[in-house]
Amino acid sequence: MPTRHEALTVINAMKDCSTVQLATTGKTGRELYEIEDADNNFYMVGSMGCISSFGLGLALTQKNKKIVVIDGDGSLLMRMGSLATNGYYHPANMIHILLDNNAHDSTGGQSTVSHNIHFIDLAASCGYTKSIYVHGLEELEAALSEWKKTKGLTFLYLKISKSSKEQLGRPKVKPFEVKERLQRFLNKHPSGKKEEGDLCGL
Amino acid sequence: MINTRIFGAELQKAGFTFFSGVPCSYLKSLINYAINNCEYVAAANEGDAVAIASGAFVGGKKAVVLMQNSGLTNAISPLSSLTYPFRIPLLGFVSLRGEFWRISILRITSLFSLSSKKGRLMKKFCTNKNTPFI
Repeated sequence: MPTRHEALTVINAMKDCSTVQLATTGKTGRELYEIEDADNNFYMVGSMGCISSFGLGLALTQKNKKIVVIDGDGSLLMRMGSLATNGYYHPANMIHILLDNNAHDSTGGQSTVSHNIHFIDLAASCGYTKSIYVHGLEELEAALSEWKKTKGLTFLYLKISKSSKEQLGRPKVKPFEVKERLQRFLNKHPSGKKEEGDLCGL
Repeated sequence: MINTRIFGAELQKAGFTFFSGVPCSYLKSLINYAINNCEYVAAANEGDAVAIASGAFVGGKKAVVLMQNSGLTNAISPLSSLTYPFRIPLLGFVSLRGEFWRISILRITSLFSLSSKKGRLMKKFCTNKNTPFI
């Protein structure tokens, strides 16, 4: 099973000038920050379970952008009704990635009940256009690449290990600074296309 | 009583075009106005509505949340740890159900009705959270 760090590295490598990455509360955001902090990253603070709803609001208002939601099992379980809302409004420019380590890793590693649930079926039955079980990092990369071309509200499910990076720091950027720089990013690239002089990937 | 169409038009003039919420019978007309004339996202719960509206705000819209006061408690998590630290301003319409001096169906049916208790708590909550309310 890949680690969260490996999964986030793959996801992060796929981002471009029109991608916004939204990371759920806890170690997911912290690890993403350590991999590469960027203006188009958003690290949720508290508000567990709210990341895909935040993503929905953003996807509906920024239709030119690719909204990548990185969620956890504990978080998704907390606000499972959001799957139904996301599925109903199905923004084509959103992908909802669930990294399932079957644990509340950020608060002591206690198990969730995620092993008792079929998230893929759940998302599909809620109206997600595609709901895909990715078995490893290669499939994750392939699925992300495919989504970038074909779009459609997609749910990706990847089992990850319980481990986290040791000595994990916390973002040095304050929440409101994260928001402001994301707003600046969105204003800077309204069309979502790479402009001359842009240093942000392909 | 305020005319919803006039009120809704004023809201739109002020730039509020994105709404998310969970129904309340008191807010029914406003919700229906939003569904028909603006962008309305029917959330599964009030906390999700706050998160959705927050995403819309960061995406560039002026956003409104609609709920009843007993649902405000479902929204406390994103109100404390999303809108507040990220400094995301939202316009909220929270209907006050179960005011102390008004006999409501909910109060009659249960002395421990969440609505009536929450009516008093809501006023306290808003004051404590430095949330301007009218």
